[in-house]
Amino acid sequence: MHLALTLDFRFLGAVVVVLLLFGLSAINHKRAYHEERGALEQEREERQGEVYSARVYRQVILTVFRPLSPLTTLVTGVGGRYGTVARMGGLFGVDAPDDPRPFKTQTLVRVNPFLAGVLSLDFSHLVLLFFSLLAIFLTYDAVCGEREQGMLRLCWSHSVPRFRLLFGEYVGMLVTLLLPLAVMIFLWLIILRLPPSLPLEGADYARLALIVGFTVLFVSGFIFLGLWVSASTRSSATSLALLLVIWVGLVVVYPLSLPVLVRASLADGATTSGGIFQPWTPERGDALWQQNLRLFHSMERLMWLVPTTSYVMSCEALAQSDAGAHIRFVSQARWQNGQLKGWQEEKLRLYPGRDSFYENTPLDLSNLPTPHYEPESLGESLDRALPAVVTLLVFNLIGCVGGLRAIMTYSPTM
Amino acid sequence: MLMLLVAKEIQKRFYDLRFFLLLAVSLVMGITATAISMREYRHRHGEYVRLRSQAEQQTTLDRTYVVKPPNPLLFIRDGEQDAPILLKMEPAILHYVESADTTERPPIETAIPFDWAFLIVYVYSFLAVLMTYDSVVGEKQSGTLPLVLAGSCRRWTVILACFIGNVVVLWVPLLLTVGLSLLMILLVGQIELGAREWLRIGIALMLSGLFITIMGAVGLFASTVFYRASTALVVSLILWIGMVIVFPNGVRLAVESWGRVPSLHELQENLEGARRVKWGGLSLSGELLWAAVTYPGLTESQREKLIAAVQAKTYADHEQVLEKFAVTTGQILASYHREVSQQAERIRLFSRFSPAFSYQFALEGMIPAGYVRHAQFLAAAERYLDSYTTVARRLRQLLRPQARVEGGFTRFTYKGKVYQLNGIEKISYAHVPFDRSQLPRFQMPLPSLSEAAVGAAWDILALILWTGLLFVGTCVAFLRYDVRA
Repeated sequence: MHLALTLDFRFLGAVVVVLLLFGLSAINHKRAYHEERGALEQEREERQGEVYSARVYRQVILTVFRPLSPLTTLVTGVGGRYGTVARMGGLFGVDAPDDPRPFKTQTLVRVNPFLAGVLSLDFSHLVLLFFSLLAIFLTYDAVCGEREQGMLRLCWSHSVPRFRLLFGEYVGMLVTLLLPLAVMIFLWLIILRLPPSLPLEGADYARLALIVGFTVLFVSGFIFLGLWVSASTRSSATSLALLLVIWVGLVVVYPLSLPVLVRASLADGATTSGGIFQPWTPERGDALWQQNLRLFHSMERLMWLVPTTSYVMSCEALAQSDAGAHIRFVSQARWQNGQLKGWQEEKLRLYPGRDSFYENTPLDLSNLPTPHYEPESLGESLDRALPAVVTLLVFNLIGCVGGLRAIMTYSPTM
Repeated sequence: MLMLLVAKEIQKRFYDLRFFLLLAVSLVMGITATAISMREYRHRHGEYVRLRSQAEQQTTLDRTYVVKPPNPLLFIRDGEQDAPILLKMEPAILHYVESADTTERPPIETAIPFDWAFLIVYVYSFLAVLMTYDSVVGEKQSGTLPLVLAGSCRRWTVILACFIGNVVVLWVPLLLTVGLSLLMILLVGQIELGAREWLRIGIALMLSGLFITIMGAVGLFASTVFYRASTALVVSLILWIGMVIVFPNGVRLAVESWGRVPSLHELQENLEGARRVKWGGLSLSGELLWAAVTYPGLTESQREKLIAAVQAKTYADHEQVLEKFAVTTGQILASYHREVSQQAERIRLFSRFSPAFSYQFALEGMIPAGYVRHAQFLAAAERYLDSYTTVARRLRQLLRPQARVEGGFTRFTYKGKVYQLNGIEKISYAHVPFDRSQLPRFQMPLPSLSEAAVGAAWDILALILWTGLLFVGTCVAFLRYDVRA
């Protein structure tokens, strides 16, 4: 019955609009990805061999890059907003004498400050906003609407078990919503193939499959929720009202309030903006990094609590486009900076005074640590996304059990 | 008759559950958004006070900083979360853009501000469409409309009453939400509101009402055109998605694809080019000194005078190079900023065909907030740069002997005597005490209401035109309605 809906021109119209929107976003994200990758390659070429022209150990600056995954064109996340290049000076300032900091990250992404407020949607946010809403519109009258029309009484007068009715509705709606989702993914794959093409590797396909899996879980959770509410109310209007209130809370209010809630957890006097005027000290640098870690983990924990933020978080973790991927990159780069520091200390013991005393002879660069970024493996990404996936599973389970309980005790009489 | 029909429409809507849904969602979200914005304002105000006091302490004749005060009406429209609040300036150089350095950036930023504009554009307008989509078509389906039209009621009276009734019903939750939010702001007292702010809040409320009227009219239009409620719902939702999301995103995509702005990397390259020119100009050639030292037929004192003249010329040349470098750097940054803002202007120009964005731009112009406010801050910073540069240059000339000069030298020995030519690479006044009262104070004046109205005129006009267009469209569709269909 619900599959017939997919042939309805109104449903097709809504899907076409979503696809159009998604197509536009995907093209835009692909263009931005190419632009950033080009900038990263250029930067990498310029930094290549930089270390071999150093004549004093102060000039040995290592650079490590975090190439973005092609999946960021699907799930943009924070992308390269927090930096994809880390510069390490070990014992010395990267931009000395102007800046004493021995470790710096920088972004190659240009965010036009004048375009704040123009909503840029990626796959996970489209699913979050539209598919959850579509799920609600499909389910709000699934049980109570049938009761209003008298169909439920008729249906239950036959030997159809109640749970079968619930699962029948569920499967029909899930398939109805999965069809446009499949088309979206297919469209994205076509856009990636369009010149300049952006090929995916084997692991990317596995990540994509998991993102699709999380999306199915998320949509399924909303269908269960809709059926539960529909089976707990007597009129379809009440059901729709209740579901829309839940939708607004889960999809809009909670995710947008998160940064404020996290910032509220900061101690009085602590600040989230960089201390531009405070003189940099290694202790202050470490304290700020620890504070950023604390903020990130608080944010992460708050995201696990709710299925909507959990869904976005799990997709971004799989696409390696979340703040967690950035934290991993910075942690690795900071560790390598420590290695470089140790290497410099050793070399300066061997060649005292060569930190700044200029000699036009090449430096001894033996055993110099090689800067590299180890991207997250699929298992590690899954590990990170696990609490969010558990939340999605619990969301489904609660919706399913709640729906079953409600339908078992539902009275079909007018 | 008109009043009777309006009362009937209002009564019908008031008893509809969707009205309570709209009211509940609007109140919950409005109050949450206001609470979050108040907290955000307190946070930004604290940052502003801290940064301003530090900026004052750090001001020297080499550099100064300007800090953007927070917008007290950010609960209505923010839109400045990606814009820098602190700009560094040196004589002739305004650093428009935040540096690419992200080392200390907290990883919890959100790209979407939770303010009234967001609530009204993305949630309230959606619920407004849901409220009105079955206003006429519901009566068509239930058979009430043909009965009403069979009486002595004129068609235009019926549709006008329907329009007015729906608008009134849509305005009620808006007024209640705004009223409660303002009451909350007054009670908490974190944001101080003067008469000017109250006037602007009033205008923002009118604009919000106008926008809600448009979105309600979208539903009403679909309701009048179609004969099935479900068709009217889907068509109005498609119109909503098109106006609120697809069109502005499409415009952004098109403009960003066709009108490319130089990347941060290109900007860095241009700046590096200017640095290379500077270092080329500051390179010391011993040829002039050599010529002065070996010039034949000069007495010792004449030779010393000639060497001193060569030294003085080198200093003057280098100071000129440094001056020119500052001007070139300033021009590169200004040109980059121009291109970025021109791109944003182009996007805004075409986006305003969507009522959702005309509304946001009109709000930004009238409050002011977002792009408009940041552009005003930059304009004020440019004016301040001019006066700071003038004063700093004058004081630098007066205090030149106290300046710390760094630079290289070239040296050679001739007939057992060592000759040295010094250059200048950097002249620092950072440690030189000076009378700070001579420096101008940075001010960011709020434009008058008439100036703001002129700036937002096109957007307000677009909103009025949309209302008129949809009203006329609805009336025409209703007048052509065939009761037999």
